[in-house]
Amino acid sequence: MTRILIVEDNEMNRDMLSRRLKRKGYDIEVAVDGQQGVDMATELMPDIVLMDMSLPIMDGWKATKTLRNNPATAALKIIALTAHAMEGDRQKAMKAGCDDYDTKPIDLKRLLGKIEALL
Amino acid sequence: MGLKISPQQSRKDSARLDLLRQELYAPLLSIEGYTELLKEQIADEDCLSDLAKIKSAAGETRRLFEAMLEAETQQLDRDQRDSQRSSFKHDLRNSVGAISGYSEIILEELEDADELGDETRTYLEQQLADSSSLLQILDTLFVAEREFGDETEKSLNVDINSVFESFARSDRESAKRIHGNILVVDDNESNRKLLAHQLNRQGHEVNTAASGRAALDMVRANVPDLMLLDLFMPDMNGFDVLQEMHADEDLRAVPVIIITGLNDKNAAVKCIEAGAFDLLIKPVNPALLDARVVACLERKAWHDKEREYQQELEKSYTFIRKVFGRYLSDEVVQQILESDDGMQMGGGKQTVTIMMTDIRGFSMLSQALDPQDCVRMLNNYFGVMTPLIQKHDGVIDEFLGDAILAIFGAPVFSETHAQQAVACAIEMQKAMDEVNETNRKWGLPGIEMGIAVNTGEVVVGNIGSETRSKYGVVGHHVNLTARIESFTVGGQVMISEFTLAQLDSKVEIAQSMKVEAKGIKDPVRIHEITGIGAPYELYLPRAEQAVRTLREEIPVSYKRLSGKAIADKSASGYLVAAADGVAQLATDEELEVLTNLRMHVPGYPGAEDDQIFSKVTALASTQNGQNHYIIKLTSATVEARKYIDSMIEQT
Repeated sequence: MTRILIVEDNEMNRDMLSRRLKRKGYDIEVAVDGQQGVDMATELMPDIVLMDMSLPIMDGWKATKTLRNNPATAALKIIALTAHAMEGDRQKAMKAGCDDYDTKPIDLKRLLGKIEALL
Repeated sequence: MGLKISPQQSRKDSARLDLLRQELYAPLLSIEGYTELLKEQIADEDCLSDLAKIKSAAGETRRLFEAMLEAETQQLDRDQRDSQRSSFKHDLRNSVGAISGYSEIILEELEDADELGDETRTYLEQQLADSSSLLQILDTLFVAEREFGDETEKSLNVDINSVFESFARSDRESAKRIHGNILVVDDNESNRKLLAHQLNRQGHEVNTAASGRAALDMVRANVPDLMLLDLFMPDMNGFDVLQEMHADEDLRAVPVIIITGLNDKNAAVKCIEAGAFDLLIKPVNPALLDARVVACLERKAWHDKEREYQQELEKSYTFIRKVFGRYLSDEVVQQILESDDGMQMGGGKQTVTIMMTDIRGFSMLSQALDPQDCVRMLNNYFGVMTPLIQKHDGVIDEFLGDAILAIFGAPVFSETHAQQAVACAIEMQKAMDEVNETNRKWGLPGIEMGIAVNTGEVVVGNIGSETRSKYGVVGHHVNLTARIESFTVGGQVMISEFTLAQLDSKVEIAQSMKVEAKGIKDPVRIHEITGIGAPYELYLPRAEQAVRTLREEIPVSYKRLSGKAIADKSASGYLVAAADGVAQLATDEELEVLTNLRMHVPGYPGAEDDQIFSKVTALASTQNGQNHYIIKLTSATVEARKYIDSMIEQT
């Protein structure tokens, strides 16, 4: 079963995304801040990490870099999620080492397409 | 660094924010309205908890809107403003995203459980559409602020810039208010030149005239800000010039300072009494001249400004009228303009009285009529009814074909909305004579109207999507009103028990019955009202015409209609008596009052293909085991009516 780690501090976003992905048959784990995200990703080695970029304690950019710098987690598939729909965000996310990028609010179909493309 | 904002700019900004507020709140109000409706539709516990999350996300969105609009009024430098806006947009994307996300989750879950009703689906999809409009607005918000602002204005079809043009004008004028266009009138050339020279040095624009007559011609051609007038001139003295100017409406407002010699004081006093602003004694002291001129010009500038503001005020009144006038009467708009708290435009639950009217058998009539006649007839009908509804403080929410939906008690609060609506309904029924009088003059058939009135709690507010939203009501009580309306026959006013309970005035009740309605648990008692007492004293004429026996009984066959469904079995009976639009049906069957019938009546040209619709209004008698019902012909062709009338026994 495909395991997805959602790193998201907004409770509603976390609730919505995890429930909808579970319904689609994914195995879902959640982390609520960047540090927890890094810890859980390292421990669980999920197939996909959905990473919110504005997170407390450690933001998504830093968390992504941390994962990339650790040889064990360097190859994890990471999709960046941001609620800032700005042009530069995509490039910034790719530069930070994300495999793909999507904007919030989540368009489930679009996100599923990106997840499947990475698997 | 201090930021300079001109008063005009800030007024324009606040108008822009008002438009933005309107743009943002329309979909949000709609979302909040549908959330309330969905609460009544959904039974599943999980979905209800998701609905509560939608509600809280909508609340969060509302708080963010308020905070964002508040922040827009602060004076910030560009970087601060950008980062603030970006942070609001970020948070709003999350809160609006929660509305759409949870709406989708509820849709999916109800669909999977096979519990998704049509209404629920519609409401949820509407919520999705509204949240997507909000996201679109957020996407463009502040990105190209100018274009966005202009678009908003265009979409409202109001040119906000024109409203502000004259503000700009008066601001420009106030900046140079101590300078003016001055006309110097003196027959003495050296005096004239001296004055002109002094005034020029003080920065004024100066024209001169050598006689009273020439002065008047010049003033008429180009109205100056101030006139300096010599009292004694050969052709026409200053006093006469003053009087002639006073008689001319365009020139009356031009201030005049009289220039006079020491000996002419009495004449000068006369001039002041005749309307001159001030006087100066020759030879004129330059400092005194300057002071008087500036004082005079300042005063005139204030006068002009006052007049401009007055015009401005009128313009904004016109603006508000344009926006609200479509669905509110002049009086209501006036009330809104005059009061700070009389209007509640925000969405929310509110108890109102709803009125629905309908022309009986209109679809059949419209088929028989020429389209132009049909429109002419409807316009005549609406033309008579609209002022009556407005007179009783009702708001016409919608004309739907031949139907009117009106609201009493919102957006302007009224304590007596139920009573106003009932009085209005009676007066409207009475006005049908006037409507039909005109129809007759035009050679068109007469029409009859049924009116239903109901009172209850509904969601009111601006409902719709970004592109099309309007002030309106939704809720079970709207549906109940429509249901009651379907029970009325032409000439009747039916009100629900809920409306009756709110009335202070005495009413005449002709009959009462219980009806069942979708979405309302218990059967609702409805009452036919034929009159209302003080302070209205409006009564319908007793239309109870005695039916007259037919020469020959007409055998008919009929089917019962319930809702849109038609009973399978056809029954037979006889028409035994009739009067204008009414007949007496004898049948073995038992029929309930208010049952609709579809009848075939043989015996006239085209009868085979014709259908007559009627409604049972009363059980007249039981004779020889047969029930005799009074039926009202709700929809019948002219031929059918003629035939039945022709069968009435002549005495």
